[in-house]
Amino acid sequence: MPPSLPMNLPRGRDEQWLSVTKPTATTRFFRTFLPWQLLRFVIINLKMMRIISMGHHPKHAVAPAPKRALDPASRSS
Amino acid sequence: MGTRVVVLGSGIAGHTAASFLRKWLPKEHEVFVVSPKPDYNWIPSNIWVGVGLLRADQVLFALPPVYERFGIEYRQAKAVAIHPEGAEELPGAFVEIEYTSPERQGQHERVRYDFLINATGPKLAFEATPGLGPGKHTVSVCTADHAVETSKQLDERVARMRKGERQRFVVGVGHGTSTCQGAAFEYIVNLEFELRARGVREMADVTYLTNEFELGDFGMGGLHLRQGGYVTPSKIFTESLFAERGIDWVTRSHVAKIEAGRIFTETLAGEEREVAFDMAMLLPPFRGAALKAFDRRGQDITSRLFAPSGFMKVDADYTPRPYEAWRAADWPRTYQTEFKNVFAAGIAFAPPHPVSVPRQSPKGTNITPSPPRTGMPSATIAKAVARSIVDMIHGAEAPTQTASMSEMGAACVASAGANALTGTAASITVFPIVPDFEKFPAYGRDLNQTFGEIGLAGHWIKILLHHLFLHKARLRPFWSLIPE
Ligand SMILES: Cc1cc2nc3c(=O)[nH]c(=O)nc-3n(C[C@H](O)[C@H](O)[C@H](O)COP(=O)(O)OP(=O)(O)OC[C@H]3O[C@@H](n4cnc5c(N)ncnc54)[C@H](O)[C@@H]3O)c2cc1C
Repeated sequence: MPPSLPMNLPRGRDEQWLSVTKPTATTRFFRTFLPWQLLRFVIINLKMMRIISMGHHPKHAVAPAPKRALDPASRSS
Repeated sequence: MGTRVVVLGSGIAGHTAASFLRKWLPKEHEVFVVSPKPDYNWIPSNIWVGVGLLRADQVLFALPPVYERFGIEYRQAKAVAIHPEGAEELPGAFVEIEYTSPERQGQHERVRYDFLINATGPKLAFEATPGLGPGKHTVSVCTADHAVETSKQLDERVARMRKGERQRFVVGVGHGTSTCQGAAFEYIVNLEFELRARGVREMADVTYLTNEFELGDFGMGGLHLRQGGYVTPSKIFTESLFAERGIDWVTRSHVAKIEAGRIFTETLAGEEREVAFDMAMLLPPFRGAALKAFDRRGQDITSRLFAPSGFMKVDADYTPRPYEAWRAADWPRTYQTEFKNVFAAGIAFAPPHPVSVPRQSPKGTNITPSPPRTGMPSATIAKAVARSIVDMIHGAEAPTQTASMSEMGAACVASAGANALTGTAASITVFPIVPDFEKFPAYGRDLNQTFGEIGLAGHWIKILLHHLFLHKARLRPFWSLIPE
């Protein structure tokens, strides 16, 4: 049996707990509902691929320098 | 004669840089890695080692055979000093290393370089807080060894709970300037999940202790997500996640010292408090690897190359400015230092300023998370630096690639409980990592690209990433096609 979340821990009138947004039973159900999560798996992967393709590839700093023959002596350092 | 590129460190940044350098450079050029531990550690999965779900050997593998197969020179040693101008008796830049391998322990050697990448990551500064860290009063998951110890402590605590003893768990950060709240977050929700799985949840009080001003800051000033018709701050989701799991939280706190079972904190409001614990996993602040630097005449030039934190100064704008004047453009782009052939990648570079709003207690104690540099930007920066060096070897005058954290996005999956059917994880994308309030005046980020969701799918992605990134790090077939 999957362990269930302790939503009903006896918290009394704990202010911190009462003042916070909490997911409804439906939201929690869908978080582990297999058909829905299979679909989300595809969608989240697509979103991540998009971020990877648009944002995190190195960009050219300056116009790429003309390729010269391999000549370590010509290095600036 | 070939060129030698020396890479210091074989973590996410150093290993990525070395692998791509070897792939892109013709064989006459040498790629030379110096790193004190012979194992590669996929650090993000240490969380699962720390709750006893993975063994250390499932997050570690030996690097020397991989480097041998791939044609990368490797020395098991730590760098101690950089001599970017060489020395009078030894012209040409070199780095001084000290061997850590059992056969050559303590021996020093000077390693010549044409290009140098400092990817030494963080020094785990447990000493910043008296009583913090393994061997003292708290545990950690920063290394695989630490995580194994943590898992053992957890077993002992569970055994006590099974005997009817109530236990208090505190997880978070152990200093006002710590970063890596994401890892502390992952550990606490995994710990809570594991306590439930082992049937002892009712016997445990679980508290998150952090230097964040609000939950969900994560050292990146929090983020905003469009959800349910509202633009909602990450604070709401993080608090909700904790409340739902019965986890309490204490924010705005600097840990001043730790004694057996007692954490002494100072809050932003200036109060001194005490938090009791039976087991505490608190992350240390990070510093740079404490390398020294010397000029040709042997004069100490450490402060020219390194910030006081020990991180390496690169092409960022380090001019001290008030928070309101910080700009995305302050962040480094090429990671080149004042020496054109020396670069820093990953956590090793000095950030120009925090991302979270800086705050001090009335006593003047800094209680502000340091900026995070997670795995994805660390590897992306390393790849960009490697490409720039390859192009410079081929004749480019200057670095050809940029990878600014204020121009790149990140995808992150934070585990919230590991089980193939009942586990969940928060899948998050942000763009850019460092907010750019000039481009995105309202929230500093592009809300079309900033997204977050909790569910089982995220856990499957986390498992997939664990296997993909270990496959990539082992340099197995098609490794280079796997994105950073
Ligand atoms: C518990 C935990 C969980 C995390 N989870 C995630 C996650 O889910 N996703 C994510 O993106 N990021 C995560 N991170 C962050 C991620 O691990 C770091 O961003 C990443 O490891 C940084 O890479 P790096 O190469 O700069 O440093 P490291 O990976 O730490 O590598 C530094 C290397 O330098 C070596 N070194 C140290 N000193 C010297 C010296 N003097 N000379 C030579 N070599 C030296 C070290 O041995 C090591 O090989 C997590 C971090 C932690 C601690």
